[in-house]
Amino acid sequence: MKHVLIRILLAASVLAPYSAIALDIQLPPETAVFKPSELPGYMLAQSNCTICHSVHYIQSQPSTSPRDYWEATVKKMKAPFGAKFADEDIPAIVDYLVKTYGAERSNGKLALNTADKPVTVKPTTAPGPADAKALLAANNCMACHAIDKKIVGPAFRDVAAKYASNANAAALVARNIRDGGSGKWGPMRMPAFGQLSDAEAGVLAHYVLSQ
Amino acid sequence: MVKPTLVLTESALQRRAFLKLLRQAGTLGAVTAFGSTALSALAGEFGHVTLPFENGERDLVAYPQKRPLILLTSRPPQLETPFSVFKEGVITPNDAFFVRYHWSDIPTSIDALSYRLRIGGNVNTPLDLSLADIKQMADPVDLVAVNQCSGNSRGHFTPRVNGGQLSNGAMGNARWTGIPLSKVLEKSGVKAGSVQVAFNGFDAPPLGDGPDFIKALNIDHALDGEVMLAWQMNGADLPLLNGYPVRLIVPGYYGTYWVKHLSDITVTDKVFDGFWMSKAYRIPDNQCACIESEKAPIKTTPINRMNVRSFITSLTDGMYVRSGRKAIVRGIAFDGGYGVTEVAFSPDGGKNWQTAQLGKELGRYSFREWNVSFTPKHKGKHELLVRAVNRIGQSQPLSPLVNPGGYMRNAVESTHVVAV
Repeated sequence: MKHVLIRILLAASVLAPYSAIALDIQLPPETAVFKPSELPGYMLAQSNCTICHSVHYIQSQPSTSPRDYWEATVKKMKAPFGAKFADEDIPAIVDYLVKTYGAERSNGKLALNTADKPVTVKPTTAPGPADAKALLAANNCMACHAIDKKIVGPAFRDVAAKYASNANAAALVARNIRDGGSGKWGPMRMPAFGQLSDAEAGVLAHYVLSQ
Repeated sequence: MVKPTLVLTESALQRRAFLKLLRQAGTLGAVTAFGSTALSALAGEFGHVTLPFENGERDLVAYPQKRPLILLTSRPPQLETPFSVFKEGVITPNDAFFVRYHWSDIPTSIDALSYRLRIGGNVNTPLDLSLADIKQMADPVDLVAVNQCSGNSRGHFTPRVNGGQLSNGAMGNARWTGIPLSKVLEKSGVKAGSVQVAFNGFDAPPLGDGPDFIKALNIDHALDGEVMLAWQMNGADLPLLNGYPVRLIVPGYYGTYWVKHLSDITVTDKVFDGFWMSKAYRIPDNQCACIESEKAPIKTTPINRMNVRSFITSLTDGMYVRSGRKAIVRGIAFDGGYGVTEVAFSPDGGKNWQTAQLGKELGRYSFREWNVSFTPKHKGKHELLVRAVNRIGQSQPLSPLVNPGGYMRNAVESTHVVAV
C-alpha cells in the first residue's frame, strides 16, 4: 500500500512539478579547520571567525597576503560585519593569520609568538543574574546551534536526547560549553567559552537539556 | 611543464555514473506532493583540483542538486564550475551552475506554497504575492543569459588580489523563465520621483549587526522589461542554491545583482545606500574601470554591465594536438548584451590572427559558440589566443586591466598546447 502511494506521488510529481511543496536540502559537513599554533590568536580565531564562516575564506587567500590585508579584513569583520570580538583581541588574531596563512608564515613550523604583549580573552558576558536567553544572545550560540536542527553544531534537542539517561548530564554539558571540543558531533570544533562562570555555564546546560 | 588544471581521481570518475543515478532519484524525491524530502549531499569529496595559481588546491564536493563542483568555501557555500563543463555545450547544466553567497544564514528549506514576495516602498499599492500570483501575473518569458560573478577569474591576477580566489568557472549560461519585473512594478504603481528599486532575499547575516545583502537598480533599468523575476532555469525549478523559488535576472549585468530567494522589492525615492551598493562591489568610475597599479581611484561607481570575454573550451593548457593535422578549435564568447560580432583566433601567440566562425545566436545575452580550424605547422609548443569584439566595438585587452576589487577580468586568454 505504501509503495503504491509513493509511486502515485512520484508520477504526479513528474507530471505536475509545480505541485512541489517544500524543498529541503542538507549541506555537506564542514571539514576545514584552523592550523594549530601556539600563538594566542589561534584560539581567538577558532572561537570567533568560525561563528560566521568556514576557514576556507582564510586558507584560500594567496600566501603572499600581507599583514595590512589581514588587519583590514579582521577589522571589517567587526565593523561593519558585526563580529563580537574585543578590539584588544585584533592584534593577536591578525598576528596568527599573517603568520599562519599570509606573508609572514614560516613553512612547516608552528608560528611562534612574537606579538608585543600577551593577549587575554575578555569576557563578553555581563556579570549579574544569569538568564539563559540573554546568555545565548551574548555568546552568539544561535549562530551555530538551533533548538531542533543541526546547523554547524548539534540541535539542542539532540544534545538533550543524548544525555537523557545520564545522571551527570548537566555537569558534562556545562563543561563542554566552557572547554569546547570536537569529535562528539562531527569534525567542527566547538569553541571554548571559558569566560562563562560556573553558574552561567550551568544555566546554559540546563536550558539545552530541557529542550 | 604546464600542469593540467583539472585532475579527477580515478575513484571520483568511477563514482560519477552512480552519483548521477542517485542525483536523479533525489530530485524526484524533492518534488513529491508531501515534500520535505531532504536532499543531502551524497558523500563528501569527489577528488581534488589544482587551479592554475598559487594556493589553488581545491576539493571537489557534491552539494544538494549539484554534481561535484570546486569548493571555494563551505559556509556559506561558494562553488565554482569546473571549466570542462563549458566544453559540454553552450548551456550550463543546473547541477553544474556556480554558487555564490555572501552570508552564512542561508535558507535550506523553502516551502513554495507559503512563499511570499513583498513589493513596497514608493508605490501606490504594496503587493504581497504568492508564487502562483507571480506565475499568473503575465505571460512567462524565456531569456538565455550569462550570469557571471564580478570576481570571476580573480585568482589569475598578478600581483594577486585578495577576495574570492576564483578561476574562470564563476560563470554560467542558462535559459531563464519568468516574468518581466516591469509587470510587477506596474501593477504596484511606481510613484513619480522614484529613483531606485532595492532587492532583498532570504539569505541573511548570521549575526544581527551585519549589513543584509541588498542590491539596487536604477528605476529606468528596473522598468526596462528585460529584468526578470525567474523561477526556472533550463526548464526546471531553480536549484535551491541558485535562488529557489524566485531570483532576479539582470541580463548583461554581473551576478551580484541577480538576488536569490527574493523576498522584498522596495522602490526608493533616493539612491539606496546600503553597504553592498555604497561600499562593496565598486569599480573606478572611468572608461576602463581600472587604475594604474598602486594608485587608489579618486571616484568609484557600482559595478554594472559585463565586459567582453572569450575562451577556448575544446583545448586546455598542456593538451596535445597532432602536428600537421587540421583540428577544429571551439570556444565561447559573450559580453554585457550588445552581442558578440567577431571572434579572432591566433595560433601563434598573437603574431597572426584569423576570424573564427560564429555559432548559432541564442540571444545577445547568451554565450556565443565559435569555432576555427587550426593546423599546427610544427611540433612543440603553441600559444593559442582568442579575442572577441562586440557590436559597439568593445574588445579585450592583451594585458589585464587592474582595479582594487579584482573585478571584471577580461584580458585575452591564452592556452598553451603541444603539437606531437
